[in-house]
Amino acid sequence: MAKIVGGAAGPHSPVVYKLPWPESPEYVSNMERLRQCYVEVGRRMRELGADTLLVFGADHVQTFWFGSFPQMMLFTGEEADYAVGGNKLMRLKANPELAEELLFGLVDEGFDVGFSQEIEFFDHPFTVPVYWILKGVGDADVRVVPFHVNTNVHPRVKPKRCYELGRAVRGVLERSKRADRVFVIGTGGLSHYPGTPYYGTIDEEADRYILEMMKQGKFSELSDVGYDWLDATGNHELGSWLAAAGAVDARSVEVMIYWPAWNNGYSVVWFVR
Amino acid sequence: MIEVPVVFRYPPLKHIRIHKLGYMVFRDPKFREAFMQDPKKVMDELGLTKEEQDLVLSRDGVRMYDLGVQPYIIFALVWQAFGEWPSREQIAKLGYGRRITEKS
Repeated sequence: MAKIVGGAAGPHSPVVYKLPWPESPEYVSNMERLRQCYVEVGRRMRELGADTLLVFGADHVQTFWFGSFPQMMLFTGEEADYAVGGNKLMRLKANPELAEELLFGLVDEGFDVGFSQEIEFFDHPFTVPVYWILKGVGDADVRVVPFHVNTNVHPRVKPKRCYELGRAVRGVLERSKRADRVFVIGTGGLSHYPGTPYYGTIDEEADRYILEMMKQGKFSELSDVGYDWLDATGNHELGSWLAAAGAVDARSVEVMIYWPAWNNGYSVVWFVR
Repeated sequence: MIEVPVVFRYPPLKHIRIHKLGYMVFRDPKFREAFMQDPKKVMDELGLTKEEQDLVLSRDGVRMYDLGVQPYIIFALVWQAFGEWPSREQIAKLGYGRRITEKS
């Protein structure tokens, strides 16, 4: 059977790719620590022999437009371009055979996921974590499968549904006769308020509550939160993390970093089984 | 529990022209360059009204938010359209950093 060999979650801000404004030495050094956590995730992923990276993330009205905005969309094409702010950085192979099986399996399970076989590009919610993780993976041949789950434009996929989606992904892969070794990540978070007048504030208390719940393995309870609380605390992207946690069947997390920066509560976690 | 309106809201249909402009600015570096060169020409081509054009050119992200523009589009229109980023200095200048105080 295909196997989910592990998973992690962390931020996808374009700032994590490259700092676009001058910052204090402390900020720069913390950002480097954060990036190195992703590199470490990549190293561990390689040690686990992963050949496919399944990425749960939410488009930020860059890949899709309000002409057609999907709630869930799985990429089933051969390969895709990855950009930051529309500037293409890399083109990566996907895993269409596995993605197709996942698509059919999820629809059978009652998750009416859309698909795309060709996309102009995925942007920072997918690009940024993958960029740093692949540095840790090195020259191993890894295929990347993006899975858009809308947590960023209302009305959105509820956190509970995200968690259940992850669990369904696990079920489908466990029943598969394929030999893929899949590593799963959820991208986004923690507290931040991009594009709003609240930008420049974070909610450290909420971030620490989320991390504590995850440490205690209370993923299902955590997924009972609603978008009123998530929006108020800047944690609207938690659904991607919960989807990854569900897919991994996580029992806890190792908090690799939590850094309450002025603009974002940045955290990378490793899902522990 | 918390009295805060939805932040990452449904895009009101009345803002479709502004939203399309922001989307194009966000995703297409060539379009962004054309906008920076001649914003009025680009906005005329997309059919933005005079009021909408004034709002975009004001770079007043706080007002855009209060008028219901989708936050990711605001990000594009206030920052990316002008080749800038929301650094500490910039957000202070533009009146960001509003606090959510209604939390219980």
